[in-house]
Amino acid sequence: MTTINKFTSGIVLFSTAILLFSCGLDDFNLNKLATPTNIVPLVYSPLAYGTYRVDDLSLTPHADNYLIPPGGETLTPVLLDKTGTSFRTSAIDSVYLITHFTNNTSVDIQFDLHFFNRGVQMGTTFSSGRIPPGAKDFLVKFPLNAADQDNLQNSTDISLNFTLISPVAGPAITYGEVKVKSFTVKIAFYAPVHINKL
Amino acid sequence: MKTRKCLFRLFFFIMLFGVSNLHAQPNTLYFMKGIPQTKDLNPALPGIEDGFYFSMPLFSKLDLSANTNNWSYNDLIHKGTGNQSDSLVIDINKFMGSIGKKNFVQESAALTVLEGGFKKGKNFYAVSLTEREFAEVSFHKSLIDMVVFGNYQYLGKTYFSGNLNVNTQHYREFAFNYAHDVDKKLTIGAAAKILFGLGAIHSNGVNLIASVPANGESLDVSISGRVNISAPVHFNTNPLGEITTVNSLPNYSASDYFSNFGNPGIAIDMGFAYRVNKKTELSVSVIDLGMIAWKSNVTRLTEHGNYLYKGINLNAAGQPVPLNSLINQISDSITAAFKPGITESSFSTLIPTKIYFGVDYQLNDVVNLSGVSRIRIISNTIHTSLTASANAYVLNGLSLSASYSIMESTFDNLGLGVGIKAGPFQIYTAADNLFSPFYPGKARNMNLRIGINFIFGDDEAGGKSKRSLNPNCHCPY
Repeated sequence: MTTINKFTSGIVLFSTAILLFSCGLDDFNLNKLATPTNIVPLVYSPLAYGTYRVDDLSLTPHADNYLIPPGGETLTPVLLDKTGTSFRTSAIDSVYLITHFTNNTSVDIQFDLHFFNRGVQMGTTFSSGRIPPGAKDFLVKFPLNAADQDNLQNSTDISLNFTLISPVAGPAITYGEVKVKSFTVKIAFYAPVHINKL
Repeated sequence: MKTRKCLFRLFFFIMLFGVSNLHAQPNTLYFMKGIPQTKDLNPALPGIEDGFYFSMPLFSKLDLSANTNNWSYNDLIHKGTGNQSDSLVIDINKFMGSIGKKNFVQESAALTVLEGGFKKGKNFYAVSLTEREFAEVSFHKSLIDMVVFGNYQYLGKTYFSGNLNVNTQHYREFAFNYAHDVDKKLTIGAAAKILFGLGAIHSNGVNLIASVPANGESLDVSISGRVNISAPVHFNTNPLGEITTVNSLPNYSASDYFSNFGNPGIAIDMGFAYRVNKKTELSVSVIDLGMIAWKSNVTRLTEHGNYLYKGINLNAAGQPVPLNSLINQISDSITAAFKPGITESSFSTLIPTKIYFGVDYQLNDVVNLSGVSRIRIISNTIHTSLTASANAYVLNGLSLSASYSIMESTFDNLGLGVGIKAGPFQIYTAADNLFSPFYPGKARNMNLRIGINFIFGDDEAGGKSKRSLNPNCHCPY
């Protein structure tokens, strides 16, 4: 029995040694987990898309020989009713709206993005600049900072405005040449998402 | 010779057609001398030469193990530095650098509550009753990559998550061992096991594939896979068939759970030990080759969903475009697309199978040098560990093993096995990594076996000196 006692003592001593000298047991105390953690994935998602024929968005009827002015011909804006929708989360500090624009017309097109609250514009206008004729998946990025996101959150409507512009060089383009042509806008976003704030 | 050929054929058949998963007893135990439970690793190594034994009721033996594929807890969570020195931080970069393409983490525990056996002449018999559980999760690095870095990096590419597998089972095992000394060189052994499953969660091929074209116009997501569950729970659904809540079964008590015999299974162990010459012995075993048929309290969740998400179609409604209702429509479509099918289907699971190859060389009257290789298959990947050990039986009751193992590409596994016997009382313990309990956060392999036996009659086995030659009775010389 002496041997057994020694063996049992050995196991007890070994277990005690483990308890006393185990390193980093504190590492398992997850109450000490620091926040924020550094997990910030870049999330991408399509948001909206639409294809429009020029004459569907024409503000006023034009004759086919009407010349698209170099200063631009504004089309009917596409209004998005944002009521009941929230785009704001504390997990996202900055958002990039990514637009791919396909211009099947023979004129330049510019599109602008506005946020409105009951008819009053909130913040700045995001403008694409001139998108040349025939452009396919022309990339436009709009960075939205925290203030822009607040404006978006507080808005009631989002407005997409399109303007036809005759090219700088060459002859002016007539309405008849573009009225049945279309353009496509595809809007997506990507944003760094702070997982710990979700 | 015919028996040997059959054994070899059977062995290669098993190797060819695969075995499943893990949970492991210490390799160090394999060649320990004078311990009846060496039969758990090779049924042809019953550990006693004569007489009978029984183990401590309710605590016959305890097996604990946990391991990963060469990454540790501290690779993910560790103490911070600077102003975070008294906090723990999640270190994703370190974790990503530590894991492989395919990864797993597993733990297992087994408690034998009754065991006994005897050897008479050339035959050895034993029975045991053991409660077993194990859990394993395997995942691909790409899954973590998506969580950490997001999907923006996959613009213009197709993302494959790889299979996320969860396999956890709790079952009861009644084992009947038999070993037979065929001749002076060969001992064969087998164990027939009747299993009763108590609970299981077993996923099969759960994965996600997502494609985004270079222009980012769409997100094509496919999720597929199956999860089988046997547990006293009920999945509640709404009229659309969507899961709303999960409840435990009413009036289902713990005693109902532990007395559930509705999930039967079988398993076998097979092994042999062959004495090549006076000093060298080869042994091979297949342990826990079997399955459980889960029939009670079963739920199967099946997912084969696909959704091509392009965003809100601005042409779909008049002006102004009602975002809220269009978003709700999309949300409903996504929910419907990925709604899992729920059935009460029975299923079967393999239990963790291991294959051992051992070679034992008798250095002198006291010490044997041994090598053992263990093969496991985890998520269709073969995992091999190698253990070299020196084993001795001294002072007519003290069994010692010192081992060194290479496991999952870790090279710091120094193990120890100690068994001590005084009169009929024997207590033994073995572990493949003696130091991992001292730094659990950094450990990649931890296992422990401890057990208590009462052995009678073995000492009087003819009063021979054969114990000192080779106390492990699978050498019937």
